[in-house]
Amino acid sequence: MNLNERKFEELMNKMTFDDKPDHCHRDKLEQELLAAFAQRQWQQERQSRQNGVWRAIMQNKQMRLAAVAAIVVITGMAGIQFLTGTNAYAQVVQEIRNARTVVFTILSQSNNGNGETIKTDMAYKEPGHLRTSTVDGYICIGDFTGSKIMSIVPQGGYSIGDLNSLKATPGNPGPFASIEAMKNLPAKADAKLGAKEIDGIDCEGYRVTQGDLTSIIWLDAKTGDLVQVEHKYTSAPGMNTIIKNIKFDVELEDSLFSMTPPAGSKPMAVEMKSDAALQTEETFVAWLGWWANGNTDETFPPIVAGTEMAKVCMDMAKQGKLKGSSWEKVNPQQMYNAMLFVALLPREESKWRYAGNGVKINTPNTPIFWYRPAGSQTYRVIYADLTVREMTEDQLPK
Amino acid sequence: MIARNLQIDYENRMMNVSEVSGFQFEPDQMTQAKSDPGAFTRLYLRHYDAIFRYCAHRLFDRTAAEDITSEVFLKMVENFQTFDGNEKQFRNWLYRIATNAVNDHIRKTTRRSTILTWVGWGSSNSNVNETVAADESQDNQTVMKKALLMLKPDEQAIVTMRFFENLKHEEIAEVVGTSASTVRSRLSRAMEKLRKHISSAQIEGQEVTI
Repeated sequence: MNLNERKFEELMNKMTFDDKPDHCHRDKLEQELLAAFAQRQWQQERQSRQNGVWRAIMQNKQMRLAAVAAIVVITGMAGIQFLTGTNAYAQVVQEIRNARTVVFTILSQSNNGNGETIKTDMAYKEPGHLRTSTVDGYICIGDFTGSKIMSIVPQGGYSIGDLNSLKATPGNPGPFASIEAMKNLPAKADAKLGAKEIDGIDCEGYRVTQGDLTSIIWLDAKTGDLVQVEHKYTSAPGMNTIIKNIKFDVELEDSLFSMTPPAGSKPMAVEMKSDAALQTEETFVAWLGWWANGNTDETFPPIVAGTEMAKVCMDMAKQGKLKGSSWEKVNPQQMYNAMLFVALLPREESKWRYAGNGVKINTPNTPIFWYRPAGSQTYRVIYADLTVREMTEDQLPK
Repeated sequence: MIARNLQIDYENRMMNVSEVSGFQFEPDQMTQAKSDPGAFTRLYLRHYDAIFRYCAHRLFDRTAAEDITSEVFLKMVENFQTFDGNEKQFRNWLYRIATNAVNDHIRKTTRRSTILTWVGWGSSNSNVNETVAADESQDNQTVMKKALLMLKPDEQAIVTMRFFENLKHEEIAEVVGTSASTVRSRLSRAMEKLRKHISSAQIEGQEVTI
């Protein structure tokens, strides 16, 4: 220290200012830090677990299809934790963060709004167990930690798949585009909506828009409990999802997630192969034609993607609508390829839309599906006569 | 509680003593502090006083200093898992966070003008019943505080770390992310500015003449 600095130091030392730390503040801050420290540790553990589960999901296309709806819900609900701004939110956030199990019902309206709404019950249990079940008894159990999936059909059959047998397409989030959007929800809701009564409960709504996806979260106005979550897609009006009956930390028996087939059930020899070269528009068009020509109504399927496809097939077979009258006659591999073609289209980028529900094959001038291929400025539009035309956005059906 | 405070004060004093030969937390203890709340608390308590004092000397406002100190340590918790270094580097890291936080505080709240007003107001009000001599002494301190607060935030940070916290040029350099020679020249410029501010104040008795 030179002379000038020493003089300054002496001068500074003469200054009197109450700089004695206050132990009360120090102790209070200590408690805050310990809480933040614990919260941070918990978040990291949870993130680590979620990343593990996420990787397992993303590595498998078969699982992508089987779990799309469920994962949308789970991730969507996890996404709610990013919403803040009111005490009610804070409570919901805390509840979600602390939840070890979640059960809910998802209502999928996967077409233009004039089709069947499919109801599926979901149960999730940490660290990575998922069970979906329909009222008709179609069950899908995913063990994300063990990378196994088991499908059980009410006819007494089951199939178990190895999630590691298939590889994902790098860089294509496919049906998870909306999930990624949910994972990146902004810190605050865009808007607080008005009141609405849902199932006799007075609710307050909050809206968050993230790219193509708009989430509307309804909380009980009195208790602040999460009542309902709605997902809507701008580019696909009518393809909505509603999540209801949401409960956290309910007791869920391990047996619900057991990968042991039900007693008396028989294995179904359904082996899917994933081949990107076959997941093409051509395959999809061929499958649409096969479907329409293969059912007694000669109509296109009510939906073209999602876990509900198996149930739709089964129902049609049950009703005798499938020519050949047996669900075994369904070509699962072709259906799988066609569904993957749709499921792996990034929803926001491709803006795909299906409008074929109830439309008869060869109905003139009737578009049933359109999408924008990656990197293209124009759209591919598939018509009911199975021709495909190129169109600009303003030429698309309204 | 008193016993605990005495213990903490003792440990902090020991830490200051230990600064001569190095810091007490070994690398494995730093790692332990990332997962062990007890070790984390010990680390926090060992550095709380220094960070509070630094903030207080930057702002001359106890309340604001406590707020900034809270902000600094909460930010530390947020990023502690990614911190990789020894305890000395940890201390310098805290100073860096604190420097940024104080500078932000000054910028965001146009604190400089507010502080200047407060310093003048605070000293005159707090000495209503004191003697004239004490008033004069207080006036000199007020001039000094004002002079410090007239400096640019980064200059003020260097001056505070050098003269109040007794950090070496090299340590300050690490905190502000520059070289020791740059710190020396900035310090020199800051002292020259202080000298001018003080001279222009024309304090009676020239107690603050340098």
